[in-house]
Amino acid sequence: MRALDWVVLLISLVLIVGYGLYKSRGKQTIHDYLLAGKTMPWWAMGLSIMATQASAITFIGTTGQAYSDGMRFVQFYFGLPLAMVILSATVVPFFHRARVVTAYEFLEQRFDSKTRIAASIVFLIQRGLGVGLALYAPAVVLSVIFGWSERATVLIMAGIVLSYAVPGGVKAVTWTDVQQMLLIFLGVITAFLTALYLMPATVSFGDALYLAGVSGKLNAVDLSFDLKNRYNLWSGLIGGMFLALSYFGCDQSQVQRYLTGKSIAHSRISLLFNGFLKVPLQFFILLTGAMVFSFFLFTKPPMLFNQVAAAKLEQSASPEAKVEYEAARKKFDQAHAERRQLVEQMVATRHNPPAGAVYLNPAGLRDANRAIDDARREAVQALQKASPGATYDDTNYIFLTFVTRYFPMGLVGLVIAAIFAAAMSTISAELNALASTTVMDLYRRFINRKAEDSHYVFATKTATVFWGIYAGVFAFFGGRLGSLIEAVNMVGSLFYGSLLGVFVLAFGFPRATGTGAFIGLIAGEIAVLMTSRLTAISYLWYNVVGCVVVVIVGSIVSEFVGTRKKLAIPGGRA
Amino acid sequence: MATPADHGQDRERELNQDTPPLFATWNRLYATIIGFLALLIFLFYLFTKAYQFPQ
Repeated sequence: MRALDWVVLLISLVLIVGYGLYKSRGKQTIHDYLLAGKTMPWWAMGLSIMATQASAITFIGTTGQAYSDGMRFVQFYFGLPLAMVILSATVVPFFHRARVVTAYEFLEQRFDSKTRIAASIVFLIQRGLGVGLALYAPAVVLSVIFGWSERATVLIMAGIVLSYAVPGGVKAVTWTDVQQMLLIFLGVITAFLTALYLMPATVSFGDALYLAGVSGKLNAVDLSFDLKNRYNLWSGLIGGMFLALSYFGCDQSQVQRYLTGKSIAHSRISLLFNGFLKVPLQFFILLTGAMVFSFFLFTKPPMLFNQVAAAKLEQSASPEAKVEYEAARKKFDQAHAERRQLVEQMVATRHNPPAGAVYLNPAGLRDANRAIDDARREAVQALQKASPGATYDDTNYIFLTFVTRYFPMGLVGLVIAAIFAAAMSTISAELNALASTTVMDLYRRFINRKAEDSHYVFATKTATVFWGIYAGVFAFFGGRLGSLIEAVNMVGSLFYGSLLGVFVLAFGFPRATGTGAFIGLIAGEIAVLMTSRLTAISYLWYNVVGCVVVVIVGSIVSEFVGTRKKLAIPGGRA
Repeated sequence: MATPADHGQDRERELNQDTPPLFATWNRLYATIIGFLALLIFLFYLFTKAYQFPQ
């Protein structure tokens, strides 16, 4: 990064944090600290909801995913608008009228204290692992790209987040999220336009789309139904809807965003705003990745985007691996030169098609892409020979390599600021939610019920610092966890469906009892674990399995065990 | 003169204020969101088809 990039990055961060602190100044009660005194307008909540969901890895990984796997990932978001409609119509008025601070508090009103504890502990485990990863993952990528110290990056990011999340509470988190989301929008638009600008002068947007299409990168919709296929229309609509229902309806890091609303209408609109914008935004981010692919058809990309891994091989003690790596490099260079010649011919032919003949050669381009992929695969095999057991995936490095090598001065700083913004918005909301649940669902409920308001504010601030330190420690040792990181990701997807099932019982099944919900939650978890261990079903479907099992088992058990509780919520139906 | 109780009632009314700013009813707004999603999926499908070339 050059001086101007640093200036842009620093100014962006200072303005964001300063604005958040300014908007949250003054003495705060616990209600203000955790729910912003219910004064937030819909647009601020809507942007905050989007910013919380968009982590740094979402931003840099999604573009990389389009580069390597095409745009089919957009289908993952198809269920989200449906979930937003369902939640607006059902959950939002209930939560507001029940005057809860956390989603799990509602479960005690509806069922009993054991269901509340079980759900809050599930959330704390799952989100606790998630916040460490949200801090660790961008630090790794930024350290590889810029040579920054991983630990310094973690410390700086955690320090900045705590500097506004602790004193300002949810108000500071929401107002910084607003700025951060606007910065993310700006970063995405800048990246897209710059990718187009950097194409050779003879290549139009239409040519870039055509070449990406021939290479199979514009596969946005796949109508085939296959449970093992991670991204198709059906897994996106059904599995994605269940995942979004769980995330936005049962995860405190999102529920807390829309509980800050001035009114039920404001909270509803904030969710619907997300439902309206999310799919086009993700499509646009993926399209940017596809344009990066087209750019690298004309400009030679690195054979492996993770340069640190490649450098490790150069220093490796295995001469055999080095020879294989060099052979792969030669193949790659030749394949790229041939592919470049071919795409230039194809573009020229598109502009001046010779009459009566078909000179476009899509099959030739696909063969050339395969030759490049083969060379990359051989290079990865050489890497793995040098470091047995190591896994290699450079999806998260593609976009940043493109930005840092080719973007003009100033814009690099802007995009890096957008990546920092994406990371910080997710981390701050998660720390805020973890602290709320720790204090309101555990400390205040079971340890100290009758303290002063200021004591709970202090306890929540302390809990925020605790979770921040915890996330930092997790991130510090993240490198040693290796493949455990994948397991952590997996753990997240294992809990959501069952948690959703408990809330479905709470809202939709008046005969459900606390004991029924509790036993249903355990049954749902067992079913999800068995599905993940014994079948090849894609993880998006775990949410459906977990939810359905909880509802069925919970309903049956409720008929025989537990006391039915009448919930007295003004305007509520349960 | 407004008392704290009046203020509390105003706040309660504001919190429960529940009409959408557009489309008059929530059901219409929900239908618009779902319709927009259907339109996007259809356009993305056309986009996929337009740039899909036989293997």
